[in-house]
Amino acid sequence: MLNMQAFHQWLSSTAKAQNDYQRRLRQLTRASRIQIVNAQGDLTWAIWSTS
Amino acid sequence: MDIYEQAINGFLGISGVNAWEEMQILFQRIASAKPYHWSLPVRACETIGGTPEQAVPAVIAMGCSHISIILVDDMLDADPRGEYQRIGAPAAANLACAFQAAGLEAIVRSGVEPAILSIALTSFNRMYLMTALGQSWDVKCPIDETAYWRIVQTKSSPFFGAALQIGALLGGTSIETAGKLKELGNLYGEMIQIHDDLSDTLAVPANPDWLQGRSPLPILFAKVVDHPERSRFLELCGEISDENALQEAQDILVRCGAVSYCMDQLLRRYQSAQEALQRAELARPESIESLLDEVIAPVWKLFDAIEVSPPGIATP
Repeated sequence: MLNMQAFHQWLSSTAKAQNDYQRRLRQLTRASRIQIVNAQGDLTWAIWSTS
Repeated sequence: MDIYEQAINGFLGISGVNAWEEMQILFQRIASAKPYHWSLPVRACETIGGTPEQAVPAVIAMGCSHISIILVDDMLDADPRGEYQRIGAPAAANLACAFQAAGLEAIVRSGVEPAILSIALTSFNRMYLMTALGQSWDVKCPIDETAYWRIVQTKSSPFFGAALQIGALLGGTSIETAGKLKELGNLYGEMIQIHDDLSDTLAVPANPDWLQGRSPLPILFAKVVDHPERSRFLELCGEISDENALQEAQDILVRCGAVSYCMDQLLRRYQSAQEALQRAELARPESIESLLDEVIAPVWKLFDAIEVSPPGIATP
């Protein structure tokens, strides 16, 4: 598993050998905050708080 | 009677609890909201072929530990919503001790054979010790990736590992299988923590993590990784209570790859959990499969939202 810095270098790599997994994760860098928040919205059951 | 009502009944029967009104009210108030995590022992019990009723003492125990951990966590984080604000810190600390002990008592009252009881109590106690250690490290604010994951593996995942292990033990499975479920629970707990960090980081207005200078996973990534917008991000962190600064900082989190990194970490743990599930050879694996499906669902939903089919894992 890559650490953060190595992951960033891998994600930013423009070498032709990039794979499908990398391409898809890179497309996430163009997602909007709202898209991410909406996707996370189904996780209300995961909240730790007791309030 | 559902599992939460059974847990309330069992809890009220614990000696000491039956004479302590504040404990009774707090447990009933939280149980009535049916916290999802309390049901994890039931999933574990069912997956090894047991019944939900066998898991009730574990549900009480995990409910007690959940309340106890939050009572302390709220004080450590100075959370304005914490119970300590209402009853005072000394009383909240005392209640936390009482809930921890009541959790152990619930397991003792389960009636399982002594050898299994010993393992279940040890699991619960170690979970509590690890969580307290993780809390202690967390208040010092980790500044690098190694420290971050060390805290996740102490503060967050032991609760979930113990929930599945103890639920399975009370359902009558072997010590070995219960140990495999503990590993699955640990992975699940790490995934929950990544989700929590991502949600907190993208919340508006700024979550206390931003305001207190803490570093949940996406913020840590943007702070430590050498990306083109790092200097600007660090500047924005100093003025994050400003709405425009928060929005710009959150946009940088997406562009710099911090969100992609969180998704990568979730996908890798999901794959590891699927492999562990295969190896565990459970009687009814669908109980745990659905648990994993629920925790990865937001990742699939995000890829769907950006009109990209979800990736299979590839080794970079």
